[in-house]
Amino acid sequence: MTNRVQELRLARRWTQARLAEELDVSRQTIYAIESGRFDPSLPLAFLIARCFGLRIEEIFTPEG
Amino acid sequence: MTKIPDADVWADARRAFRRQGSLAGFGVVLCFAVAMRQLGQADLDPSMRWLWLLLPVPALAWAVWEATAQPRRRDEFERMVSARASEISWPLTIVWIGFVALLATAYGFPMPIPAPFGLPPDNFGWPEVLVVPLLIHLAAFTIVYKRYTGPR
Repeated sequence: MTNRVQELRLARRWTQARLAEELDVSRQTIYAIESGRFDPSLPLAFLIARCFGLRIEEIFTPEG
Repeated sequence: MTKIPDADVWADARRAFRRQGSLAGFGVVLCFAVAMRQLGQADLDPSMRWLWLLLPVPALAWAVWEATAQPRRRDEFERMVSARASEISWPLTIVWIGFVALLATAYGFPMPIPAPFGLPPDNFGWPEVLVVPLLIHLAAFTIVYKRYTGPR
C-alpha cells in the first residue's frame, strides 16, 4: 500500500511528533507508515483520514 | 540523511519515559542476581537470609504491574514490533534452555567457568541463565525495530 501521509503532513507544516500526538501514536509509527514499511489498521487509517479531513482512499492506495 | 527536529527528539524522550517495562525487567534481574549471589554465600548470617530472599519481591511486583499495564499503553505499531521480536526470541530462548540443560547434565549446576588472565574462577549459575533470554529479546526487539524505523 502506498500513502500520502508525509505529503499531507508537510503541507500542514507539521512535524512527525505533532501528527503522532494528534493520533495518539508514537513518532516511529508515523515514520514507519510514511516510509511504507507499516500499513496501519483500519481504525488508525480512519483516524488519519479524519485528521486530514479526507477519505481513506484519498490517502491510501493499493500498490500495483 | 534528514535531521530529526528537536521537537521530535523530545517527543520520543517523553514517550520513552512513559515506557518503563524494560527498566522494571532489568530491576528484577538485578535484584535476583544480587539476592542469588548473597544467598549462595556459605558464611551468610541466617538472620540476613530473609532480607535477601525478599529483596526481589518489590521489583517483581513492579514488573508484574508493568507487564500488565504496558500492552495497553502501546500503539499498534509497537505491538507489532513486540510480537515480531517475540517470534524470534521465543524459539531462541527454548534453544538456550535446552543448551543449558545439556551443559548442566554434563558438568553439573552451577557450572564452573575457567576464568582467563589468572582471575579467580567463577560459576555459571541462575543469574547468568536468567539474563540471557532478556538479552535475546532485547536484541531481537532492537533488530526488528531498526528494520522498520531505520534509514530508508
